[in-house]
Amino acid sequence: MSINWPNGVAWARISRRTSRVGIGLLASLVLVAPMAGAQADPSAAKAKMKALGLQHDSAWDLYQYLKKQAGGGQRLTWQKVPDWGGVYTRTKGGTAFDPDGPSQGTMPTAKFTPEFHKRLMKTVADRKAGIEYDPLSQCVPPGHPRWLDLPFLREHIVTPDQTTMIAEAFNSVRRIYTDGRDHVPEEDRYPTENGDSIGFWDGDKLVIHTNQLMAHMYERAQGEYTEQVETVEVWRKVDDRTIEADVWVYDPPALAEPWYTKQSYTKLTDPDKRLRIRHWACKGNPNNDVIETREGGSDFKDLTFTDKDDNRKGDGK
Amino acid sequence: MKKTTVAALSAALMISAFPGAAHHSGSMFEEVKTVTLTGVVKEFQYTNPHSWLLVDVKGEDGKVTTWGFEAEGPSTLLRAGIRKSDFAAGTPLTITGHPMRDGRPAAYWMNAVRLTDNKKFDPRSGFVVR
Repeated sequence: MSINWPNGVAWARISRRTSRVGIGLLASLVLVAPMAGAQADPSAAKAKMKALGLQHDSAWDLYQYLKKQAGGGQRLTWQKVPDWGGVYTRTKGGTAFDPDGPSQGTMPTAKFTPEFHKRLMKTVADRKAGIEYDPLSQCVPPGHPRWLDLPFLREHIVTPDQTTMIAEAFNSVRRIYTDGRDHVPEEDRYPTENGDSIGFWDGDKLVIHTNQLMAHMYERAQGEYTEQVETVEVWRKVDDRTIEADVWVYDPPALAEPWYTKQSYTKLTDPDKRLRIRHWACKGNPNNDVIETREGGSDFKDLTFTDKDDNRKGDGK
Repeated sequence: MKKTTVAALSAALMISAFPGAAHHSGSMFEEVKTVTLTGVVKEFQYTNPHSWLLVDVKGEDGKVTTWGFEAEGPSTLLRAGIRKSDFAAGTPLTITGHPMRDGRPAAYWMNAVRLTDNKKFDPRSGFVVR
């Protein structure tokens, strides 16, 4: 039996079904069996991907399932390295984590646990009241999975044993090891901004599992994640200018269920070869120093060009 | 010369007032107010994480105030077709932005017209995917 990915590409073969996962998946496949209809309906495709996430208790379980369905995946050869070259940027959605969901500032599509839902509600209400602060203001790196919704430029460097993904913002680099290695051993683990990513190739699809991440926010007024967050991503270049990624986020303390989103990145036209990703200096201009106010909002610390700021400095404030 | 406009913007416009800022919230700026000023460029700080266009504005009393207009960094400005050389010191312009809530002379740069050739500059167009 062949599982058709929503884009119509055969995803994997089910040689045998095990446990409730297989049964649940079979049920969902039956529901979307006439794939032509599903392909024409993005919401149906999204529902199918969401269901796939729900059928697995953890990101690791989902990753192992996908790996099994891919027969363990294939080692990429130099002859088959896909062309992901060029300078990309996020296709749509601004910086909302779900590019197909509501705009930033309204409730996102995730289902949070009560505590994190309450915290999200406060940030959404505060934002409407003009109160908002982002740790990025003081150069705390965004990290993954927020990395997925960063604005500005991006590039992807694919080699057989490693794929490197670079976001211009915060010069943030992700390294995805595809040489067959496992995650860092338990005893050597510690959280980092972009975590530890391993993956495998299944045809033209790069499947990634990431763990050992740090707590952060998906974006301003988009909810928060904890150090327990883990993700599964399936990346694929779908046409000459578009790379898409199916993303499942698991984070039991914060998410009541996995958050599925479809991320999309577009290669920018650059006929004059002017686009470059250059070093992004977070501290490149003192006029950008932003502090958190007592109310939890944001304010410039000292603007260098105003009399008012000159006076504030004189007051020792 | 200073003109302040309070406009009842739609929710959609309010959300897009500060597109894509990766570094800091735009909450220090008024979302529904705009300020339009005419003056001359003092300095274009073409920097990361944000650029600042400093504009000297002469008030009715003859006093000159330096206003700062914040925009995204160089790579987004380049995508918007805004180069550092577009705003050499002394360039006359009319510029519009969302002013700061606390009254300091700074704003989030929405658009500008260079008065030497009436060319328009919208930094936010640097987020257009093309």
